[in-house]
Amino acid sequence: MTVDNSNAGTFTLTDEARRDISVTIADHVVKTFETTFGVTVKYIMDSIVHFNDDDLITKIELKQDSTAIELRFAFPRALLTPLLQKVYGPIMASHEKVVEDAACEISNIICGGLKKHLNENGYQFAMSLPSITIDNLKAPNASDRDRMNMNFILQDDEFSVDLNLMRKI
Amino acid sequence: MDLKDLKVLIVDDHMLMRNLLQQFSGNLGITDTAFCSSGDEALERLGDDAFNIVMADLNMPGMSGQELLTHIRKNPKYDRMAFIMITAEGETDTMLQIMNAGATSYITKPVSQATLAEHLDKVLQWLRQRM
Repeated sequence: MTVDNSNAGTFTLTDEARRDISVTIADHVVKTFETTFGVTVKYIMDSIVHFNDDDLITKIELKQDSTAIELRFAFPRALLTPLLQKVYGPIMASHEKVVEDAACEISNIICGGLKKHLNENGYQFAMSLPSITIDNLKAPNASDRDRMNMNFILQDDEFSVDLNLMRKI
Repeated sequence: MDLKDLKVLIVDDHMLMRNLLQQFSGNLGITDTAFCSSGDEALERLGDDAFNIVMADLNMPGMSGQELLTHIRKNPKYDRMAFIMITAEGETDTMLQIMNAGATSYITKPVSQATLAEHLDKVLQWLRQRM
């Protein structure tokens, strides 16, 4: 599908945009887990970000002209495997390919919700396919105006969504 | 014709969604389902079997759901085949384009069993009108 960006607005991460994005992502995270797995995930406000070496990290990009919003989702495997047992049973649910596929699809659904929200508010972002990345994630610096991070909790396991706004000059 | 009489082809590059759609369809009474992980694979599969419904993801590597829909609607052999587009994105403009391209219905992810049931009811009416 061809996207005409000629009338699209320039995206900046203002305080208002941060609030708007937080609400949109949080809504889609909660809805995705509830609808797909029947579990309740909670958004933890003002939490300290902890990334674990074992986290499965997915990456998706929303692009509009020279602006890219990169979203990374960090899921502990211990969070996903019990959920996948409901879909696949205990043996298949622990296979790495199954866990990676689920992490990518969950990220795809949440990012799709954000894309829809942004595009229905004047932007024309196109979305990439999700992929697994082995990059390490670091907690954002509070002074970093082009980055934001959100943490969620399901029972005892936390996972995070990291958003990074990038501009190509 | 009832849900139990339907033969459904599920096309999604993600195993999770294929399995969920199969489980939900099975719970609703559809037992005859087949899987494909790409649009190209779906086109080959359609040549072999008489499916009543294709449920396809919009955003897939290779042939997209929209391209698959275009191929299907170009072929008069599939005039009585319903097409449900499933997407994580779902902007109103995109969905209008997809309906204009010949989709019978579209569902925005995440998909619940109740949502699928509502759409299948409408699709069943569409199929009955073409019997």
